[in-house]
Amino acid sequence: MSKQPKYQPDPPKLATRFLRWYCRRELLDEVEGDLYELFQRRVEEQSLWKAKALYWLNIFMFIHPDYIRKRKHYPINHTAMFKNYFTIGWRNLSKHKGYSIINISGLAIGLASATFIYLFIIDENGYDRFHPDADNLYVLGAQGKINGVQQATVMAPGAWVPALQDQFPEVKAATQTHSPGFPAAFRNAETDQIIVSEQFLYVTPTFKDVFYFSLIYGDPATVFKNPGSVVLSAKAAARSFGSENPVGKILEIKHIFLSPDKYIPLMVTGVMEDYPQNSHIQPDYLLGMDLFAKQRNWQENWGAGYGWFTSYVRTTDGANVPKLVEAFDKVVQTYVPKEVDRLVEPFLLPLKDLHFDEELNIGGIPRADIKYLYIFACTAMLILVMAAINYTNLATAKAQRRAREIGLRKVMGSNRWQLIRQFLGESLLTTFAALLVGLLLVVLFLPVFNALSGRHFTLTHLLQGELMLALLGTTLLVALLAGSYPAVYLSGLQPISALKNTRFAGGSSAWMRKGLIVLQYSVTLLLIVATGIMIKQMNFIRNSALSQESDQMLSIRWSGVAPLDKYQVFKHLIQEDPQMQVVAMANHLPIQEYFGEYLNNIDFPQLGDQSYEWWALRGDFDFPKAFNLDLIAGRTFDDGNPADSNAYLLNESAVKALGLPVEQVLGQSLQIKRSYEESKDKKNGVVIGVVRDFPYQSIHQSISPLVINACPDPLDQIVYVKLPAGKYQEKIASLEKIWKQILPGEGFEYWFMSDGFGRMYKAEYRMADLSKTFSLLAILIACLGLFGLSSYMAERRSKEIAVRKVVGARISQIFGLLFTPFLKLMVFACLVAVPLTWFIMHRWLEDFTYRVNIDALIFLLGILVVVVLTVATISYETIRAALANPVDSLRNE
Amino acid sequence: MKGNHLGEFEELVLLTAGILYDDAYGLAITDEIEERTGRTVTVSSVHKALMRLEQKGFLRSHMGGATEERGGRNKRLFTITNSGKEALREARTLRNELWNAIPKVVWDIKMG
Repeated sequence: MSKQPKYQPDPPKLATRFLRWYCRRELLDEVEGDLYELFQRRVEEQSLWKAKALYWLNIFMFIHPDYIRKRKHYPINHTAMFKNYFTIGWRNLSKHKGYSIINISGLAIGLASATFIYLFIIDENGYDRFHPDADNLYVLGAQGKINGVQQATVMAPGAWVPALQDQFPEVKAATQTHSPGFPAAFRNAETDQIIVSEQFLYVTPTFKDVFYFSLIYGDPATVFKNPGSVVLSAKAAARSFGSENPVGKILEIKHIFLSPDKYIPLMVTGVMEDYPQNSHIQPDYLLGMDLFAKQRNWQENWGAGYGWFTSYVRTTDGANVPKLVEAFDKVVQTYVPKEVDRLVEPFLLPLKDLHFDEELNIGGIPRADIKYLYIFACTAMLILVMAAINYTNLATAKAQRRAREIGLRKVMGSNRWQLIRQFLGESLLTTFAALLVGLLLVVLFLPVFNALSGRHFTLTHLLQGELMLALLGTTLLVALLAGSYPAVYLSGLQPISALKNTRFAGGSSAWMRKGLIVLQYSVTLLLIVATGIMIKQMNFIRNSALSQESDQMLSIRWSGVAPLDKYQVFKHLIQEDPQMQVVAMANHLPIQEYFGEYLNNIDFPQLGDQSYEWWALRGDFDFPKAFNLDLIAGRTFDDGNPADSNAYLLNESAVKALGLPVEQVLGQSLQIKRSYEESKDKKNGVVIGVVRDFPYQSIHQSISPLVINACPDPLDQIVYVKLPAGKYQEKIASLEKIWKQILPGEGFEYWFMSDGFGRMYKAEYRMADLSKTFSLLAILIACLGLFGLSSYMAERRSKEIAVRKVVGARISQIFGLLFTPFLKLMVFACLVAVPLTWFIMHRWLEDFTYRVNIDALIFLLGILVVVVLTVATISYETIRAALANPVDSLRNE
Repeated sequence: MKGNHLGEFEELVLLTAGILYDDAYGLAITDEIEERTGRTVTVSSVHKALMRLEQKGFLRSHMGGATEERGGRNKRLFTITNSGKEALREARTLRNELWNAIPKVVWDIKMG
């Protein structure tokens, strides 16, 4: 019988590898052999599948302590080895100072940025958490559908809180606050010092049961017992009364709603500790709610449009909040008058979530956009990653240098794990050194960061437990990440080839290096282009404010401070100065979203039943002229025509909303009332003209319909004066003089109108600033990396360069030699980065209704910057190589 | 008799190693046991038993006999040592003595 070559399938490779991994070397042959025989037999007698399955089973059944490989135990003399590692590591750092500095500074910058970002994030997350029982605090709000659109607000009708307190035992305490919105003047009668402030609240006596209420002076239980009491914050007390205890003293208040013409006395009953900066309210003055005349009235309101307090609730531990809301909803529905169609569904929002909720509106309270938080965090992480990449790159590139040391160590008996430990230790050493430097940087640059972020971080903030833990963790992580690849790579070098001193191309490590460089280029490009676009958008916003000269427009607060009848006198006195001819009065501009009361109900009886809800600007006759409004139809206000007090201008969007051609709109009669007024208070008017749309609100929205009237608003009057450029201080001083002339004893409060617009985009401006800073940091780190790598490459090819020079190469050719590899990588990076950047910036710009477009110029600019940087860093090496004597490098064979 | 106690399975393996005296290795012993006793025995338990027996000194091993069926890997071949033979004899004697000590009656009574 001839022997036919049999097909012998192999047993499952994975199982065999597993066996070889765990089994003792001396037993391996017999076990593997037996299993192999069995396998072949089973393949013949049964099926391949069964053979494989039984093979796996057998392999597992061999697992037994006697069969498992003994780990080689080298008696490690721990202390001696670590000392050696440390010494070698230290020597390494100091011998190659240049590279060490590059590594440490890069990592230090990265860690410093991470620290700043952590500070910011911890602060943001901790918003409103300092109250005792913060987890049980909720804001009471109302929601509902208006005109089919779901809306919500964080205020609640006045009757809700008392009802909650009475009928629901899960509500431990609740309080209502009210902020009238207009500033008040506080006068210390003894010193005749007047402070104007908007940071005051009316509060119910239960305020102390809900919020943090720690009194420096005064008794919390009785502060609001007597009518006319006021509690000051430590800051406010210091302002008005210095360092003495003001309890028992009189502080006078004048406010447009409370007492428009005279000062009324308040008794100071307590001084409370200032709230930390991460709180949504910063009350400087707390007034007892009894002072608020409409309190009784409002507390009977269940859902009508008028009579809402900002309301807070504190629940018992473990209260079932959804059920509470449901039960309360039922109560509300029984009391709400039927014809009301506003927001009447209650909801409870946890106080700690308020800061991040984008949709709800609470007047003027700084809100966080959690998007920005993520972006900041990502950017800081990116910078750290880039620094880590530099470390990895340099370490693997320099492998050649340490090859002999590694080879020798292996010959002396070191195993791979020991080497890995050694190199990881080195990276830990470097990273911790970087941490120290980084902390130094943080302390140095803290004021700069405060300016950038608009917060007030102090050294105590740096000592928070959370921060230190996070920082330590990050350092360790970075050390491990950055050091792991080099550790693995270096420890894998074979002793023989290492000791032979052959040059190796370093195959796989070269790919890794290239990939990392591409990543660095991409990140740098992304940051540069993103910053460029942000700056462009911000400038666009700044330039399209109300009028081109809004920087010159001074706003002076009038309502609540001065009586209307003195306005004309004031105006004429100002206009005696030929350089200040443009004086007008109008509402506060820009109109913020929370000026809800300025919405008006407007009917056009000749056009039908439809009622419109639009904004209205009310000012004096000179308003359109002062703001250069572009009249496109009809006429503007005429000073001499008394009937013009009922004349209205419409803007383009209003005409569009009516759906009529412009000519038909002229002469239409209309009826207008404020949203909170009664129907019987409607005023009649007639349309006399149409003006072009101009931005009077945040540029985040498209321009809404608007009517303009020449009768000053009874509640909101700001005087606008256009100042000549460059003479601001001088003119403001003369304005103040005129003010004191006709309005002695009143606070002169002014600001530039562009500030108001600027405030709307605070978040965006901040974004742009931070983006600028981080781009610079990223560029710096990329440069460091490039520098390190290029100098290493030049050194490695020093012999080659020397030979080329001898043969006659010019400097430019040598430059090309060093530059070309980077060029190729750059091109690749562009391919990756450009579409990514475009996509990201497109999304960011979508937030703005009016935006700039992304053009190719920015991208080219970014690429140019990167190229220039690369050229700059490489030229240093090129020049050095060019000036070096080729003999020196060739001699060292 | 301390530490030299021969377990039932170990005795089986030792005996089979004797039967296959020339080619006594793990898999062959496993096959032989399965054939003669009809019990399903895993090759791993036989290997472990062989290792124990060698530790106790009843078997001696040497490597050899690589074949193509094994993919060219060696086998560990076992031979019984003198102490192994001694242990087997002792076990057999002990069993016989116990056997003989059972009264005749037990064999005659038919139960269950």
